[in-house]
Amino acid sequence: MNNKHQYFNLINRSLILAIGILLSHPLEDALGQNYRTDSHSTYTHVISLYDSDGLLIDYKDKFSAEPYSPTMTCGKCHDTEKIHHGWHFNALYGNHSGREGEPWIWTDPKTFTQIPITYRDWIGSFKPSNFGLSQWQMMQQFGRHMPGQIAQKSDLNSPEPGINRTHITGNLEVDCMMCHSHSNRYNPDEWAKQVANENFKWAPTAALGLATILGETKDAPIDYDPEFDEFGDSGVSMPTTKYDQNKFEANGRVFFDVVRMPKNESCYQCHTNHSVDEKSPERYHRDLDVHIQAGMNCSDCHRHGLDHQVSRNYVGESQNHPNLKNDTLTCQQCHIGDQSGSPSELAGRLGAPIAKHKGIPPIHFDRLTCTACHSGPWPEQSQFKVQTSMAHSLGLAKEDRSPDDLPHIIEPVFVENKDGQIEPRRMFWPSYWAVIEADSIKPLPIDKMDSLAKWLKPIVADEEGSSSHKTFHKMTEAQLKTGLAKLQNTLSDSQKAAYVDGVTIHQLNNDVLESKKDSSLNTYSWALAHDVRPAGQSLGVRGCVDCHSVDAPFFFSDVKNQSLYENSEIISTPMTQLQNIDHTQTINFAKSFTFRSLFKALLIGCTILLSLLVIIYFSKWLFKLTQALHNE
Amino acid sequence: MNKLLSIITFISIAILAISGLQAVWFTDKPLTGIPLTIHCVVAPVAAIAFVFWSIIHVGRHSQRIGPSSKERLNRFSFWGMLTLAIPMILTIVLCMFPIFNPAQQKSLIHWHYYTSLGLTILAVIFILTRTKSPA
Repeated sequence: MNNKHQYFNLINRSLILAIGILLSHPLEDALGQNYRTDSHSTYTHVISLYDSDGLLIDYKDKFSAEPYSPTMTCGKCHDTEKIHHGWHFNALYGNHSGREGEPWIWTDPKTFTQIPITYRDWIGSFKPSNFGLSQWQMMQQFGRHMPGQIAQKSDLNSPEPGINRTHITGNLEVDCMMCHSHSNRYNPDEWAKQVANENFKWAPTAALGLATILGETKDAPIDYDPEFDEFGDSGVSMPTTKYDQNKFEANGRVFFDVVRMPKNESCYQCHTNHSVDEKSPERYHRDLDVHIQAGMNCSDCHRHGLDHQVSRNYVGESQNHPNLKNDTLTCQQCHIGDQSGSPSELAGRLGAPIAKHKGIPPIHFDRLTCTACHSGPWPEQSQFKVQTSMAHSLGLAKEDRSPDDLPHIIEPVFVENKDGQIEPRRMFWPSYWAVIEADSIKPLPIDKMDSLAKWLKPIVADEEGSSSHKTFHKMTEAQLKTGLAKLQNTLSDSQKAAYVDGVTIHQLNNDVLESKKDSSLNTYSWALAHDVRPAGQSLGVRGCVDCHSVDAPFFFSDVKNQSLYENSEIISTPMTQLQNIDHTQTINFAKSFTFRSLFKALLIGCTILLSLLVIIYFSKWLFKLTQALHNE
Repeated sequence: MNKLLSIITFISIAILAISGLQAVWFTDKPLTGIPLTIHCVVAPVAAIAFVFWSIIHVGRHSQRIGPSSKERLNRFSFWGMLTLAIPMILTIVLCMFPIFNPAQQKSLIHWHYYTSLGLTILAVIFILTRTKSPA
């Protein structure tokens, strides 16, 4: 970088700061004051851009202009501090985890690893620190599908493990425009590229198309400090921000095409679910969620106030989030409601068709969630392989996508939830290398993975020669043994190397591979709610036998473990076991439905005969009574 | 034959009463699992047996009777059972057709409970007040 320009830039920035303080720019007066219009119409945002220090950006500077900071720019009028505690950004605060949701899944095909990690208190998941991951590494790995930093650096009370390069990459700030951009010009793919290049601070500017970012911080050594290299003496080249001058108006302001309620496409960027199963129809045959097809937006139901506590709308959510009052946005409340309740409890909100559920016994509504019959793919004897945006980077252009990409997730699996209701879920089997010490199984820290990868020498072969379509090959026994032996050599005598394969743990005992089920291990599953199928395509529409027949997948399909190890024992779990119901009893009950029509006919026949008896003898008695009265 | 039919009828009514009422009285949950299976298996047997038993006995209970209160009570319980059996069966059969929504079905199930409770009490009274057939 040109030293002369750096020098002038420093002077310029100092001058701007001084002038800013002296003159007090009118907008800066508004900092934290919550400017608002309170109108249903969208406010036209023609605004000045500020960098992360709160300084007005000199967009004409082609050499050292800073990228814009959403926190400082949007924060001039909006309470970003409050917003940053919203659901999408508050995982680290940990006190409002709610129902188990989709975790981040660290995957590595070279080490046959797929492990659920999240800052939230979700049963079966690991904290990033358990895996040796810092906040910064979480950003580097998953920032591609994150609307910004999950917490501010200062929120950490204790030193965390892993790598922290924030002083070079800058913070991956909460980017308001990721959700609130009305224009398709916002480019999530560009965001992901900037994250991959470790240009955290530059990602919002690049994604919005305000500037071209040249360079990357990825190659800067970790001991590099840009603060002490203002003139580029170290030879390290930091990214430069070249603003598109056409985007700026004569007064130096930029039009931000902001929408208050995010578009569905913005939500889909991180919340798409894509079936990759051979059984699934082609994409053009599939329907989207019935609500979307009806013209609704995700944000019509998933609402929030300024605090950005987006409602997830599961039953009982308000118990997890005392500040939320979203029980009126559940499936039941819109489609069934309480017709004798208060006006806010009436069904039919947003024009929702009121569900009649004629002929469905009431017990179904005690034991099943709405989603059990209405959501996800229609159940079959085997489940469907599914990929998600967060787990498989959907939404980002890749030429080597494969149905075998890790993690291997299946749906729908019908599981009894904490409230005793059966709900459909997505499920996967965590697989990871671990260290056993004093009967405690701890996942191997991430910094040991590189060595493992070298030892395992995985086969990730090209399919059909020149094709770039890659096929995942499961771990062989030789690889597993090698991995365990080499890993053991790095451990102390009190530690034992192991590979966790779903609910099975593999260990080496005198060079002999031992595999056993461990009751402390479990699958990870989370409730699926979308895509919702309409009433005409819900379970039970063809009658009770949709579920109450001896071959109905809802009760009588098996869930097979999805192992990454080729010799893994196939463990079939009956769906009834996951539903916590008696298999034999359920199958006997299903058999009884063979005679249901006969049963109904018989009972109707009995009712007719009994009615005839009563009518005949009542008539006789009435006749005798009238005769007696006549004779008297 | 008559005796066998009476035994089948009243034993099946007893089984239905125990399997059905225990859910309401002791579990406070809807009828499910093994009790439901027993209830569903015995129900058609009880219905058929009750219809035949009624046809056989209806003649006797339509004849002029003596002034004994036991006899009157016996006759009252017979006709009461016969009358209550109709709504008792109807309330549950109607639930099996796509006519009523779950809230309405809950009402029907309540009526099924009350009518079957009444029928059970009348069945007990009938047994306690029974007299030997003149035949």
